[in-house]
Amino acid sequence: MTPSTVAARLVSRRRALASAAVIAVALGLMGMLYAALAPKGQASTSADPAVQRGQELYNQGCASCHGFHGEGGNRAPSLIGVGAAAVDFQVGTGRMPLQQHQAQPPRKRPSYSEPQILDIAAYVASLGGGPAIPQFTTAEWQKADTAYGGALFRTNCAQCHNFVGSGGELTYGKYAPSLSDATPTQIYEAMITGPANMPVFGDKQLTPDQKLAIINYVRTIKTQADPGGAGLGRIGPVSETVVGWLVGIGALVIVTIWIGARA
Amino acid sequence: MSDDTNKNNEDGEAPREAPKTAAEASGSVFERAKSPTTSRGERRETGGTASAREIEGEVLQRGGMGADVPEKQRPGRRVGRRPLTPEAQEAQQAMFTRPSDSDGTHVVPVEAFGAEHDPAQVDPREDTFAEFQVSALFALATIAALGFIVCFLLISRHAAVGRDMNFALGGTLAASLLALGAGFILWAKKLLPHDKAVQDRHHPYSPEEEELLTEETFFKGVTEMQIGKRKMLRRTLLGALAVLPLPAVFLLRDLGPLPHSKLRHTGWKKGLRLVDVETKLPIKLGDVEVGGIVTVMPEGFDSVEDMALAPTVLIRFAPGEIRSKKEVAWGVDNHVAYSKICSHAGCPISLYEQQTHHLLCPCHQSTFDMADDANVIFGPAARRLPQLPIRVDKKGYFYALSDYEEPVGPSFWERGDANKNNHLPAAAEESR
Repeated sequence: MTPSTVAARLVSRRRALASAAVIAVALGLMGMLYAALAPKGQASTSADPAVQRGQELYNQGCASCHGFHGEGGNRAPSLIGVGAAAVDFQVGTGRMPLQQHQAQPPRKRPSYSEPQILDIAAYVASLGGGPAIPQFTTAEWQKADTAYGGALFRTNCAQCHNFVGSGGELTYGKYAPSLSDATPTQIYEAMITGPANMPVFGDKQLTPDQKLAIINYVRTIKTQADPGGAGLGRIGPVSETVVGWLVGIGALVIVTIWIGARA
Repeated sequence: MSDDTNKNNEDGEAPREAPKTAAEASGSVFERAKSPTTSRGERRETGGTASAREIEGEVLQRGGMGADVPEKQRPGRRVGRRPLTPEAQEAQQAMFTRPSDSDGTHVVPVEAFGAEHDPAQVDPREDTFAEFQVSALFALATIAALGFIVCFLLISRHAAVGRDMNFALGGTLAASLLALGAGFILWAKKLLPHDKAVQDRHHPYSPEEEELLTEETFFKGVTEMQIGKRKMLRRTLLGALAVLPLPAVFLLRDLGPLPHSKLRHTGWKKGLRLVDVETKLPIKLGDVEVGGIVTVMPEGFDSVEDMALAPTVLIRFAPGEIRSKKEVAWGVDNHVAYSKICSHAGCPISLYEQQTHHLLCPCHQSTFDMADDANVIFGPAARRLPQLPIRVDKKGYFYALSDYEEPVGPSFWERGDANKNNHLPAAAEESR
């Protein structure tokens, strides 16, 4: 390595450092300018500390798409009037904040803690109306009528979610998700808010008692064992028979060939 | 040896007997079938008289083991097979010229095929190993069977029935039977001689004497019945046989009656309220939220025919979402009611996407745009879903203005092009 090449390398490294510093300073200036000139977020008039904390979280994580006043934009719907239940469902199941644009956000680990979600929900509810987070105890849904819940589920839910809640396909990549991970509160919230393409089932259409019966049915089905082997997602007897035939007959054919082969 | 020599031998033996009866002499169908001839008058070979020799010759030919088959013709068939040695050929010839046993069975020894695994010539160590393998499988079968008993006793049947218990019992029993079976097969494959038994095909005709006896018995019976003399018996018998098919003709009546106008009417009538299919309670304005859907029936529905034709979905839109003027006019306050029975094959449809307003049929994926008068945008359905005109009474309950104006559900032969689904309801009906 000659001295000249060492010097050239040092110069190039210095240049790289210098340009990085310039970009950092420029970005900082831009940020300050933006902070000074940009319209302020909605000044919270509520004295409720939960709403204030929620607004802070909202402005950081949600406002870039849903707007600083929850007015929505071309990337996201308005949140005025969706209510606390919708926030608790969408953020609590990890569907919001959105990771990437796709046909339908999948369920994933929530990005916020439970108290944070309640704060954001309180703030969004303060923007105007909408259903509140349903309050009921485990004992309440557990004593609801499972059989009646099953009948209601098959009338209102099974067409998309399958009769044991294992989900199903819709159009253009959209799908009705499996209900196996959904908590009782989330099932209730989904019914009253109608997330994405799910129809809304208001409390006058399905009374709270009926909703609890549906929840009990979904949870009971989830805990039931599959007698006699793998359920294959309980897609139905046809699929299970097809798999049984292909695997079973295939094995029989192979054994038969072995038996018939000459030693 | 070749097929030709076989045939010659075959023709040489068993000359036909002289005709015994007049029928035989004149060449009855039976006889001609029994000894078919070619156009040149020679006796033709039939499957029934193929000898063991021929079958065996065929097997050897197919296997590429015939000495006269050129190797080039069947290059792929020689894997793992040895061509016949002159000694084997000699042994085979000797075998074929020996008469078969009383069942017509020839036993062809394994040497004839040039097989490598004649147990008699196998290395004694290999033989011991094979025996050990089979014994091990039998031991495994024993252990698995004992395991079944242990599992039955050890696993609590209350806690684990339908799960661990099933797997344990089924698994051990299957393992036991499988090991036993595999042991038998290995025994046969490795330790038993591989001689090949070939049996003559059974002659497909009864002996001549039996045929003649049957013929004789039949005509004797006919004569003894005196069917020609006893006129009354003959006529009543013919009468009974003639009337017997008539009941079947009368059963055809059960294919009817024709449905007439049943397919054109549902349980909906003017003034009937819309009730929830499950709770049977009438639906009030405001019960359904924006973006909601509910399956409704005419109040007081009970018959199976109602359940087949009348199911209807009531959908509520946000203001301004409905794009069809006719749809708005037939609905009330952003609520519209459509038949739930698919116009393609009659499946109940209610996969509703509230953002796109698409209603999907689960059977064949017909998709209806509910914001555009149930227009078909995908799938095999040929028609829009019929709309039910609805209004709200003074107490706030939904009711039907009339029955569906066109037949609901799939097409039928006499349906015609009954599309009356595009006019506005009479203004007189709107005030109630």
